[in-house]
Amino acid sequence: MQIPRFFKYNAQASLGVSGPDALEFLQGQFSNDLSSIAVGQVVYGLWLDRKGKIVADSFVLRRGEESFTLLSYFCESSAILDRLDAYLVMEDAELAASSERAPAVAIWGEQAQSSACEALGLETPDRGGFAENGDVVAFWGRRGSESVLEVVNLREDESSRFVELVSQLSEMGAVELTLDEATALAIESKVPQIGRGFGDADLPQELSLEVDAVSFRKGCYLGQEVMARLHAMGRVRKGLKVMGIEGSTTISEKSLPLDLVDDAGKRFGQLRSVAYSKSGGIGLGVVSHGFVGQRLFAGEVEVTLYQEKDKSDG
Amino acid sequence: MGEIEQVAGVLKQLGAEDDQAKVMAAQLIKRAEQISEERGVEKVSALAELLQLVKSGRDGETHERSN
Repeated sequence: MQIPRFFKYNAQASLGVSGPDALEFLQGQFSNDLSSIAVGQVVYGLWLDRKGKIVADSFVLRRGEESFTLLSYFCESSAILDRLDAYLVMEDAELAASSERAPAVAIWGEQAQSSACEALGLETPDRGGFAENGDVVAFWGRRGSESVLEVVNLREDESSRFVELVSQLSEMGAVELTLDEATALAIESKVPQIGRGFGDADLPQELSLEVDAVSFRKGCYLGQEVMARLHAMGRVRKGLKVMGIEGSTTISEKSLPLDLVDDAGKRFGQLRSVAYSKSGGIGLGVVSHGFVGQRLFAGEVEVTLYQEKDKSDG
Repeated sequence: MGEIEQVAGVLKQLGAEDDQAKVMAAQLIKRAEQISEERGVEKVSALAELLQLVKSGRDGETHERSN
C-alpha cells in the first residue's frame, strides 16, 4: 500500500490552444501522437526544435473539439508560447498563455487520490484521460514509478475548495512533501524534470523520453527527421545516470549544472538535478556511454554512479 | 480588388489552386491580425513576413519567423 503523500506546486505553464485547426496545428508540432486524442484525454510529449532538441514538455488535454489546454510542471508558458507562435502561420488557431501559474497538488496513494477526487466533485480519471469539474482538472502525472494524481486549478487562484483539499489531505494523514522530496522521487525513477535542469538542448533519447514521449509512427512534426534518424541508426552517445553524492558537502541547485569529470579531469557529463534526505544526497545526470567507471567528481564533490542493478535493488 | 483577393493572387502565383488560395489568404490575414495585435506591428508588415514564410516553405527553405 502506498503511503499517502501530497506535494503543493504551481504548474509553470498553462496555455490554451483553440480554433478549428488547433488539433492539426498541435499535431504538426508535438513529439507525441495526437491524431486519436478524444475530448477528455491527455497525452504527454515534447516540443522540439528542428534539430530534435527539447524546448519544453507538456501534458496536452483535449477539453473540447477545438479546445486544448497545455500544462507543464517546470517549463515556462513563454517558452512554449514562443515555440508555438513561431510556427503558427496559416492554421486557424489561437494561442493564449496565462501569465499566472496554476496552483496544483500532486497526490500519491490510492485512498488519498480517491478522496481528493470526491472532495472536488471529480471522477477518478482513467489512464490516458482526465477529469474536469469547472476549472479544476485531474490527470495522472509523471513524477516517478509510483502512480501520482495531478490536480490543477486552472483559474489561477487558490479557490476555497482547493485550499480545503490540502487541509483534508493533511487531516487524513497524508504527508506533505517538499520540493526536494518530490525531486528525490523523480531522481530515483530516472524521471528528468524538463525545464528544471533538463531539456534545453537535450535530445529526448538522451533522457530516455523516446519511449513514451515520442511517437515514431505519426507523421511530420518539428524535429521528426532527427527522431526518425536516431531511431533508425541506433543510440545516442549519452544517457541518464542516477548517482549517490558522497561526503557532507551539499550541492545547491543554483550551482547546477555541474560538469562531471574523472580523476584526470576529463569531462564525461553533467550533474543536472540533486536532492537530499536523511540518508544522503542523490543526483541525476547525463553521462557519456563511453564512461565505464563508477566514480566521478562534480566540482570538489565525489559522486558514485549507480549501476542498473543497484536501481532494481532499490 | 479586396484584401483576400490580393493575397490569394500572390498565393496563386506561388502555385496554389484558386479555391485553396482564397482559404489560405483568409487564414493568413487572420494570423497577420493576431500578430499585429500581439506585437504592436503593422498588419501589412506581419502579412508580408507570413507571405515570405510561405514562399520559403514552397522553396524548401527553413527560415524561422523571428519572435
